[in-house]
Amino acid sequence: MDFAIFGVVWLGASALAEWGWLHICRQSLGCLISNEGILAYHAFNFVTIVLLPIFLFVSGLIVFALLPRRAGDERPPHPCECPSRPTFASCWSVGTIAANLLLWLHPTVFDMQKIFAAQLPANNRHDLVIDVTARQWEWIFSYPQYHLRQTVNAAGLDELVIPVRRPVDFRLRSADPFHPYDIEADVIHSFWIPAFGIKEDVIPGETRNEYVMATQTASYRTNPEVRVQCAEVCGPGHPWMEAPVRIVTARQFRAWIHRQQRWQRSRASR
Amino acid sequence: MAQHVLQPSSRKVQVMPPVLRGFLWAGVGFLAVNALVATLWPGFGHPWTTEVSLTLGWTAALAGWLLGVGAYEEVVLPLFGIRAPIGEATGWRRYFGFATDHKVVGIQYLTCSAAAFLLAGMIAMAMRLELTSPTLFFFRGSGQYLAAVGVHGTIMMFAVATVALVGGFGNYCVPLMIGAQTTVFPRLSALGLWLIPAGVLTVAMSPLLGYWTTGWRGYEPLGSQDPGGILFYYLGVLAMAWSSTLVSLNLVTTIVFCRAPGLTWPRLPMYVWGILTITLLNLLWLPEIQITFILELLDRLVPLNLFNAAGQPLAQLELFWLFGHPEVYVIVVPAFALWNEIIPVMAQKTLYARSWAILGLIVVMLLSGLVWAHHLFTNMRNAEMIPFSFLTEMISVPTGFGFLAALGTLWRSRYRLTTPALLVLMSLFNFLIGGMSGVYLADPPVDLQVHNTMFVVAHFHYTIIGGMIFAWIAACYYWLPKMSGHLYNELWGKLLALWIFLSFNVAYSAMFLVGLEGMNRWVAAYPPYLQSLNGIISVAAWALGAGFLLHAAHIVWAWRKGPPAPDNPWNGRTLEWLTTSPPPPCNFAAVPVVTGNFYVYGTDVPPAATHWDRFQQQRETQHPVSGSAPRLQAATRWGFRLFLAIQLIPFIVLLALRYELMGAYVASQVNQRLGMGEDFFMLCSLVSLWRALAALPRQASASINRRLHCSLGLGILYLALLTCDGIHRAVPVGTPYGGLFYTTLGISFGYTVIGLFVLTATVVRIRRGAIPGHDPWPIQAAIWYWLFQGAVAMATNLDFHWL
Ligand code: HEM
Ligand SMILES: [Cu+2]
Ligand SMILES: [Cu+2]
Repeated sequence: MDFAIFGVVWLGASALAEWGWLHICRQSLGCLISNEGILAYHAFNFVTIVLLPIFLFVSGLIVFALLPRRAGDERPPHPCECPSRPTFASCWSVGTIAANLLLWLHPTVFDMQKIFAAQLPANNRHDLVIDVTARQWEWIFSYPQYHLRQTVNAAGLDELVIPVRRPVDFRLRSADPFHPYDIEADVIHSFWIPAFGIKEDVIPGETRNEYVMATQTASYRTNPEVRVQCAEVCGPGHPWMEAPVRIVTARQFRAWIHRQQRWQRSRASR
Repeated sequence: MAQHVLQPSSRKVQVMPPVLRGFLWAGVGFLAVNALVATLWPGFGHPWTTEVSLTLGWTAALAGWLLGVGAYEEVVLPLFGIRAPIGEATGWRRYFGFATDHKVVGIQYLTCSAAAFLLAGMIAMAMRLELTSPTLFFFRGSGQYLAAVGVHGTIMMFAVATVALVGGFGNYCVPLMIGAQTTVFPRLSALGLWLIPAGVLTVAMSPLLGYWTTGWRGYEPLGSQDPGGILFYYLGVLAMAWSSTLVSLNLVTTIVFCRAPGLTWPRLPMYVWGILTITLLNLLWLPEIQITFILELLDRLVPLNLFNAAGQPLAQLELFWLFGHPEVYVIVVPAFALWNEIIPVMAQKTLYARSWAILGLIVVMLLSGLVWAHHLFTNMRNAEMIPFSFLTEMISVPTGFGFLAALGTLWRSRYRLTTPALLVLMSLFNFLIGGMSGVYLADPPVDLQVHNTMFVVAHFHYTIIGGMIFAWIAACYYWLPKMSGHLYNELWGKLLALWIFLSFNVAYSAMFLVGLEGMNRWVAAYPPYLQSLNGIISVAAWALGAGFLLHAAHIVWAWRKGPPAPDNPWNGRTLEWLTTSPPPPCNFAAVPVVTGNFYVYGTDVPPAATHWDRFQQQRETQHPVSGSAPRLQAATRWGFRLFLAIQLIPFIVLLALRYELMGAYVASQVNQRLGMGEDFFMLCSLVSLWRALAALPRQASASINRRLHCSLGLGILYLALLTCDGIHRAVPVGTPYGGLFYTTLGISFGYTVIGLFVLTATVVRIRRGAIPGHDPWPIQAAIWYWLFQGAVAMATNLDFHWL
């Protein structure tokens, strides 16, 4: 009897929760606007869909224990009574192993395959290369294909501008370009654009690549998640180690490149 | 019976209160050594202190502190064969001194943890105040905020989360639950306790030396650039890690050797299983993190250039998390065990799937060392991600067995909803959320987004506060009648439980959201769009803090003024309920005999009895039972060997680092002649000791002493050559290779100094008339120590000088 009541309540609550998740809260992971971010977003939602009934099952059993035993429950429970003895334990183990295997295969392995494929050199011949240098505490962006050494906005702050739907190869280094011989110069940072849904640590003495593609235009001004944010503590300046990002159309990007090149020339001649 | 229960010595000499004397000796030690070093080796900025003088001064202070609180009379003098001039304190004074009763030590640990929790909790409240505003307004600078984060995290981890249920309830309950009358190494555990206040104070004082910014993980190369405060982080953690090592050594040996007759492994109580598994983890990983911190400390002082661009920064991250992940299981496994300890008692119902639950604890322990790299998904090659995410996801299967047993027992039970019972259910629920948020983190694509955001901070607070701290409070209420003989107020207990449950869940569920919206960790300032959620978190966090304070007040009140409790208020069946509440100093009037399963209800046959006759029978017919002298002797030997074995771990880490850094260094020429000389003296010294050992059964004091002298002299020669090797500097210092070389030399040096000290003490002991043949163990131990560390020194020497 208890078993049936619990089962019905649990199934009902799970259905309700899944509906609520799919229709109300599914934007929880934030607004993600890159190919990698969209993978993370779908993975997040899939994991939630699997976990919700499990969560309700366990917490339901906990709540069930809190309910006072009904007076009409004439048969006093035998002290050894368990939910149909070993069957429950076996089902439980098989169930948890199955759920974990499922979650490992999908999303983890499937997604990783896609990410690995996106990183193959063959798929990145025509990327826009952006050299990212992290130093305490500044992000420096340079565009070697356009001979731009450091891009800044009108206020003179470092600025990252990315054309939409074009694969980008970020080359990440942690070093101080102003003291290149100091081996103790820099520390670990982490290159993170919250709206892109991916981050990669930047380690002194290593060069790493991160491949992403933005899927829609956006700007820090309208969406504060479109920013570069250091995500690994790197000293007192860490909270402010950020830079605004703009994702623009190809045409706007070309115009921006020209402007930057003009500025660079005028700075050089000064 | 109970010949080993310590008799207070009759000759009492009045001394200063131990804690006061400890402070005094620590202060004197610090000032003297600091002044000496700063004078001999001036420079480095400040006229009175340098980082070197601070480190050595601190070491002297720690020694002074430990000697002052009682190690002088209770450890050092006995080593030399001198009887301690004072006995142990009685009454409340026991709690403020060197206490060998495991129950006193347990309560001391609990008190220390509670005080540390209060201190680090106050810091958390200040952090939450800062985070109500998107700009810096409360702390004086971002560095100060980050130092607060570091002090909060370090104290919470090393003095609360890994201590309260191990040093605290582990010390108090485990011997009672296995029917032992004492622990195997009571003096070691009395000593270890006082390392906790030393460590907490050290870490708490660290901001005086400058605001360090790394947080509790001390990532390099940031650590070696940080202001001086990080020095006290390394040193404080070293002290606290030693404390946990000693606790683990003592409890593991006690569990293996001092179980009551009939308490076979399958009958072992759940909580004891939990403690057994995590003490093994501690013994494996604490030495590893200690050597890592020593390397970081040296890297900072010398520098060694091991962990910056010249060496390998990732090596430090890996060494940290190799320890760090097992550490988190050291925190929660005792909580898992507590659930299944308390639930069957409160339900008066047979524990469901008990063997699964035990299996779960053991498999979690085994897997915990294999999942650590999930902290480094942002630093990983693609091929490594898939196996580590697999193992991480799979660890939820054995974890689930703890839930399985708890839920199966709860099903259709008449659960008595007392305060501990309620808190256990809350712990289950909170840990469910903590664990499920971990499933997201195990998926690399999601983790790459939420790693190092407040989502992770919420995740680990859910597991630690939600799982472990709630279980800790449940245990406080559950065992309060046992420890104090008083009951708490049920209404207040439940109300306060509800209070912390609600405020905790509001605060930390909002913290998940703020992380998902893009708030990263270690920030005193953040983009303004995150402010409203942060406000909610802060208000709920303050309510949570107040709730913890009220619980503490309620427990203290109940301890002193609560209604008197019967001996067994919950009708529990484990052994600790078989004795009076609070238990007498020797725990049990008669050693209990276990005849059944503690977790089976519905039968009238008790699982254990204290029938003196049957105990007597057992003693005559069976192998030596727990608590008897031969058994204790065997336990001492076993524990000592375990201690020697874990001394190997630092050398293994150094070796592993050498191979990891192979690409980063050019092996340079070491002085082979010096190395040959070192090995020669060490070998001779070993041979001479070996012959002393062989002479022991013949009881020939004079010849034994002669050989001991001989090996002492050879040992000093060895030490001299080792010093030459260090001064000679054949290997350049500032290189990774040099760093590892000199660190290995230094550790050999330290071990040798300890070995020489113990050997000297033994010689003095024999001089003073100790007859080696009568009580051979101290001499054997000294010799074994010397043999062991000599062999290790020679092996590493060989490795460096010739391989
Ligand atoms: C009393 C309620 C508590 C509050 C309000 C609180 C709050 C916080 C906050 C705001 C942070 C900083 C997060 C960041 O920016 O990285 C933090 C970090 C941390 N907390 Fe707590 N905390 C509490 C209790 C605890 C407890 C009980 C433990 C463990 C026993 C704990 C362990 C940690 C650790 C290990 C860190 C990470 C420190 C680091 O990044 O170095 N906290 N806590
Ligand atoms: Cu940073
Ligand atoms: Cu971990």
